[in-house]
Amino acid sequence: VSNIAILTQILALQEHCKGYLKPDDYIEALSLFLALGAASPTTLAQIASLRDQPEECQTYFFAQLEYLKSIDPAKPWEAGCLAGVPGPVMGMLAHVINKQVNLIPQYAETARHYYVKNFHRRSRPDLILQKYLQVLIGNVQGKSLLDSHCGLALKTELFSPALLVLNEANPTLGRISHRLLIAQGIDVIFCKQDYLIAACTPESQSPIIDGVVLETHALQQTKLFDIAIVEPPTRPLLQNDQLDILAAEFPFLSPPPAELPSTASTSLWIQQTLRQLNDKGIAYVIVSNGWLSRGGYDAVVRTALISSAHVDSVISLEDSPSSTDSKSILVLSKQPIDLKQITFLNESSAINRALDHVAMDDFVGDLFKPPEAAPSDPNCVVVTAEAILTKQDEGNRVANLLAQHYLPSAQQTADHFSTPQDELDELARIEERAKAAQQKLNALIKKHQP
Amino acid sequence: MTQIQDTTLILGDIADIFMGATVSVYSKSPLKGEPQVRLITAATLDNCGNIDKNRLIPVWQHKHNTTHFIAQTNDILVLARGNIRATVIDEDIANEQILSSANFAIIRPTSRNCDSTYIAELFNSAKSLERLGLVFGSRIPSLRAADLRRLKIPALNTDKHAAIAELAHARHEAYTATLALAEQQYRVASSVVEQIIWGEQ
Repeated sequence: VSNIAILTQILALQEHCKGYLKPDDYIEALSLFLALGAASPTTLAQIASLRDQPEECQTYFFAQLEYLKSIDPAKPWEAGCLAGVPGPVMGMLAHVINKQVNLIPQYAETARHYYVKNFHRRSRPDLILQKYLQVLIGNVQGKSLLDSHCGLALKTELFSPALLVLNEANPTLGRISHRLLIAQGIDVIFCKQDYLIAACTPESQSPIIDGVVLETHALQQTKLFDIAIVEPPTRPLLQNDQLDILAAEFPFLSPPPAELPSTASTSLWIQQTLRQLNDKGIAYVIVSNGWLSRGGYDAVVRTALISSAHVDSVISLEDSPSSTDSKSILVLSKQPIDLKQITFLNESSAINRALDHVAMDDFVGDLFKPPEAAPSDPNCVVVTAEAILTKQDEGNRVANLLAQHYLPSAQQTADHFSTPQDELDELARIEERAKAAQQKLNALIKKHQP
Repeated sequence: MTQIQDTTLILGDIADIFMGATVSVYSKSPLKGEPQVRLITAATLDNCGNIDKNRLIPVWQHKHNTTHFIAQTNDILVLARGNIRATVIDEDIANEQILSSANFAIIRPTSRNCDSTYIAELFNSAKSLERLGLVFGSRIPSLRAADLRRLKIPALNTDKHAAIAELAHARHEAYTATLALAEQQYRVASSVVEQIIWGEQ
C-alpha cells in the first residue's frame, strides 16, 4: 500500500472526526489508537466491535486505558483530548485501524510525516541545526543515545541505536512521538523526569538494568550513554525550591559556590550530561554564546571542564558573536583529551549551505554533505587549554570559550584566500565588465533617444 | 515639445493594489513552529529602487492567512511614504519569501497590459510623479492604495515597454558594475597603502 493511499485514509478519517476533534488533537487521538493496535490488538478489536453501542464502547475504552496505565505507568496511555469524544467516533477510529492491523507501522510513519509538516513546523535555523547534528553524530547503530530537548524525537527513522532515551520538553510532542514509536515497534524510552533533579537522586541499585528500570531511572544512571545531544533550556530560571535541592545534592564537577545562582541551569545541565556519559562517551551541547564567555558560576564550570580536559571542540554556527539567538555547539568528551587542546571551528558557512547540499543516503536518510576542513583552513583554529586558562581577554573574562574570540574575522578569512595578484586580476575582470556595461548603456541611450 | 498621450489606463483595472502587512501580521521575535519570512522596509531599498538583501529583516508570521503579502514574481512594491520609489520583484527575490511592510503598496499585475518595469519607472521618476499628480511641491507625500487604484497612466505600446525594460536593465547593470569597480579599486589601493606602511607581510 503506498504512503499516499495511507495519507488519503488518514485525511478521510480526519474529515469524519471534524466537529469532535481539533486537527492537532486528531493526530494525538490517532496516535493513541495506533499505539493501542500495536501494543494490545485484542483491545482495539473489542473497541471496534462495540462501535454500535456508544456507551459500552466509551466505558470499555477508558477502562482499558486505565488498566494499561496501571501495568505500565511509563507508557503514554492518557486519554487526554479523547475524554469528551462520543463513542461512535472512537469506535470508527478503532474499526478502521483494526481492519488494517498489519499496516499500523506504515500508518504511524505517515502520520508522523503529516504531523511534522503541518503542525510541528520547524523554523529554518532549527531544521538546519538538526540536520547538522545528525551529520555530527553519524551512524549510531549499536550505541546508546540520549536526545534531550533537541526536537529530534520525530526523526528517529535515522537511528537504529541499541538504546534510545528521549527527553522531550513539549509534553504533546512527547506523547505523540512516543505513541507513534510504539506503533512502529521502535524500542524507545521517554523520560519524564526533571533532568537536573534526576542527578540528585541515587542511582538504581537493581542488579539488572533492564527496560523497566530505565523507564523510571534512565536520567539517574551514570555512565549510560555513548552519545548525548542536549540543548539546555535557558528559561525559565531555576526556582528557590529547585535551587535548595540542587545546591544540597547535585554531583558538582567542582565545589559549588556559596550560593547557586538561579541562572545556573546551563552549567548544571552540562555537568549532568557529562555524568551520564560512559567512559568513551561524547556529548554535543547546544549552548548560547553568552554561556561561553559569561563570568560567575558559568566561568567556574568552564574552567573545571577545560582543566579536566573534557572540552574537545567548540563549533561556531554564526560569523557574528553579537547576532541574536546565536548558538554554538560545545563538544565534550568523557575521556580526557590527551593533548589538552581545544579546536575552534567556524561552521557558519557550512550551516548556511546546509539545505542547498542535501544528499540522499539510502542508509541514514536525507543528509547534507559533511563539511570538509582543509589542513590550512582558517576556519579551524587549535588552542591549548593552558593558553585559554591563563589568557584573560580585554573584558577580563575567564576561560573564554567563545569561538569567534579565537577564529579570524570574515574579512581576515577572505584575505587568507587572496593574494595581491588575485586582487589585481579581480580588478581587471571587474573593469572589463564595467566597461562593457557602460558601452551597452550608451548605445541604448543613443538608440532610444527621441 | 512635450508629446501628449491620447490614451490612458486606470492602474486599478490592470492590477490588484493593496497595502503591505501591518505589525499584527508578524513578530520580530522567533515564534516556534511558525514560518520565517524576510521583511522589506524602506531601509532595504536604495535610492535607485534596488533591494539590498542584507537589509531584509527576519520575522515570523502569525497564524493568519497572509500569503498574499508575500511578494510574487513581477509584483511592483511602491514605497508609499517619504521618498517614493518602487522595485520590481524578480524570480530570484521572490524565492526569498519577502513580506512587504505596511509602508509599501503592492501592485500585482492582472493584465498583460501591465508591464512591471514601466509601472516601477513611473514611481522612480520625479517628473512622472509630478505629472501623475502624486507629488506637489516640497511636501512629504504619502500614497494610499485607493489613490493608486484610481491613477491614470499613459497607455504605451509594446515597443515602448520593450525599450523601457531594455534601458532599465542596462542602466542597472552599468550602475552596479561601475560601483563594483570603484569598490575594488579602493580595496586594491588601500592594500598598496598598507604595504607601503608595513611592508609585505
